[in-house]
Amino acid sequence: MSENKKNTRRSFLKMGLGAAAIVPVTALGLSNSAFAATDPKAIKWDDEMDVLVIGSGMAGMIAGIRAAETDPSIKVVVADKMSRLGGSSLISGLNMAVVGSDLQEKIGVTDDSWELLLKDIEKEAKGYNHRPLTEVAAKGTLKLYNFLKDHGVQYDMSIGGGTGVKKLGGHSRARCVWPAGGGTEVIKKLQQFCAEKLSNLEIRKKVLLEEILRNDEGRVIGVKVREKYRFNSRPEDLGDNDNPEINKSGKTKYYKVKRGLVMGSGGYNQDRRFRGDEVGTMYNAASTTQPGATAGAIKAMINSGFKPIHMTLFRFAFPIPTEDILWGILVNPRTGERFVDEYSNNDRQTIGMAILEERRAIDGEHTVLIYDQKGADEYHDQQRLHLSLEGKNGTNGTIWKFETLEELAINFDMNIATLKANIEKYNIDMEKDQDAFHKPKSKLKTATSISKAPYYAMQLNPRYNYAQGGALITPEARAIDVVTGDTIPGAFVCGEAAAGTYGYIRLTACSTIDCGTFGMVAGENAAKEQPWS
Amino acid sequence: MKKLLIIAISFFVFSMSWATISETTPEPNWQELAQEYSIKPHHRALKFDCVMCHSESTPDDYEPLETEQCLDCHGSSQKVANRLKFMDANHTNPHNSFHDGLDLDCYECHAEHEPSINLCTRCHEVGNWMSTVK
Repeated sequence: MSENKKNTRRSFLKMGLGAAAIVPVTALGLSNSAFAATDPKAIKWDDEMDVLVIGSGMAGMIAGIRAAETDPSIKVVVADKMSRLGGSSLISGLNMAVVGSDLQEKIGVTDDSWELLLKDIEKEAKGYNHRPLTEVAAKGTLKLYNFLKDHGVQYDMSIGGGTGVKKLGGHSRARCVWPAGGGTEVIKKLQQFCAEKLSNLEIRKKVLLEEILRNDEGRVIGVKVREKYRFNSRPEDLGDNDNPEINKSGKTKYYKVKRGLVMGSGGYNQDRRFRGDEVGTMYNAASTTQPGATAGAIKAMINSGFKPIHMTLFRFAFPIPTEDILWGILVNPRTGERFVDEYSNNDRQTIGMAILEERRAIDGEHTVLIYDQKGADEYHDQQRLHLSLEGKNGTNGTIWKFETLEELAINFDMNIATLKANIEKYNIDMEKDQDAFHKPKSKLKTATSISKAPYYAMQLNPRYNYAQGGALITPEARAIDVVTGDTIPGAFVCGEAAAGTYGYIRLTACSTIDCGTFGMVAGENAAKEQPWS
Repeated sequence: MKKLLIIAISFFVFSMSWATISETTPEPNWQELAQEYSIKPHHRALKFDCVMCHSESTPDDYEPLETEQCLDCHGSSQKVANRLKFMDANHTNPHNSFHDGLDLDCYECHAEHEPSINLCTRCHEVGNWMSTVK
């Protein structure tokens, strides 16, 4: 190494580790960069647009709309690799935490604040989050609520006993609202708005992003895509679709992106290999996100130097609220035995991992959650309980009702004698508040035993439905280069594809506010970028 | 004499190039293709062959069908939805469903050369809603 370089390095180290003191890597004259630069003149561009949004879920649609509204003279394209638009948003409930809505006012909640919402979110995040990002989401909820209303979305007034607003687990105030018809309502209304009001916005299906192209200054200049791509939902690992050796469909095209690329590409929850590499047991977890939630987009981002964070974090979802699990007992169907404290501080990760571990020991068979009538009566979310009893609560979401434990045991192929013995033991221990798994009697209200018919049971299985991991962004939704630490000009990420707003766990009803607030920011900023060409 | 020579030579050149053309474009083995790419019983009953659906010039260039091509025969999304109109009440009509209305592409469920799948069953237990997807 030359003498010059050595001295520079020593003085760099002397400056200490404070963020302010770090000399940008580019200033050190190092030539390593995170990406291979593309010479725009060497590309034969097939199409061009001002703003390209990847993903047509809530984040992508809102980003596209805001970009098109911010500057009606620019051309905005929202592209999705799937033939079914809407991403996971289409099939989600999409409830959202909103501070200061008219609905909240009507029920007399006047002391809610973004600071209180932030506190609730950070309690779950356990320090993993980046507060400047979390603040963007916490502060922007009312603006988002009104944005959706202005763009055709109606809210469900039948919930919360007719008030339209509910207090969900982990939230300090009643503040959660539902679009009437869930995510389908949001996506369809936003699509309708675009068709009717935004002539400068075009939505394209079946366009797969393969590569993000940056010039030698590091600015995003365009993308390599495959048009008429056909996602195949048949492989065991849906992530195989991102492997061009396996899924060869589509024709390569180059899009020149003149102002900004917005990645609203969602999570990678359906990619067994990718999520299994992060967390071993996750290879076999279930997911009820859209099948297209594979790692292709995050890989393209990583490949062009976007800094990924929080990749090992994951969030389980159960078909029923986590805080309604404790009323029952979770048993191994082969032994009839319990294996975890069903309360566990309402920690969905602990309960979920315990279930997956137990299933691993019984060839993947499902564990069974059993309630009695007392437990069913204690249910917070009677709306969800009834959905499950009607068989409308998705995969493994059905709750069956039995007049006797004998019928229950037959249904799940369990030995009735061992089941009864284990229930007996549970009841006796809990009476003395000496549960074998330290489940606290004080939390159980009237459901301190499994004894009163009818009985209810379901095959409780955690679903990996939210990927905290993604590209690190700034509060302006700008992507960060993994080597330089600088923002990447022309690059924006929003929604589940980005990372940093949340942490160990994402508080319920908060994915929407992340998608929506950052979608708005990303779209507006992308439209305002100076075109490079 | 010269005219006759010119005619003779042109005829010779012409017949040579004709022979060359037929050597470089062999006829596809339609029977082999039909076995490898079997079609569904309801299409076979109509004595369909490949070119009924595929318009590209050779089988090597055949692309998967777009929805518009299916609708060349099947009419329109609305017409297809009307056949299961009785399911509209509960929003469980697969061709006019809660999530997708008339927007679903045919190939989300239907395949011709392999078994079809039921998109609804990815998430829902369809039980009494529906039978097999053809």
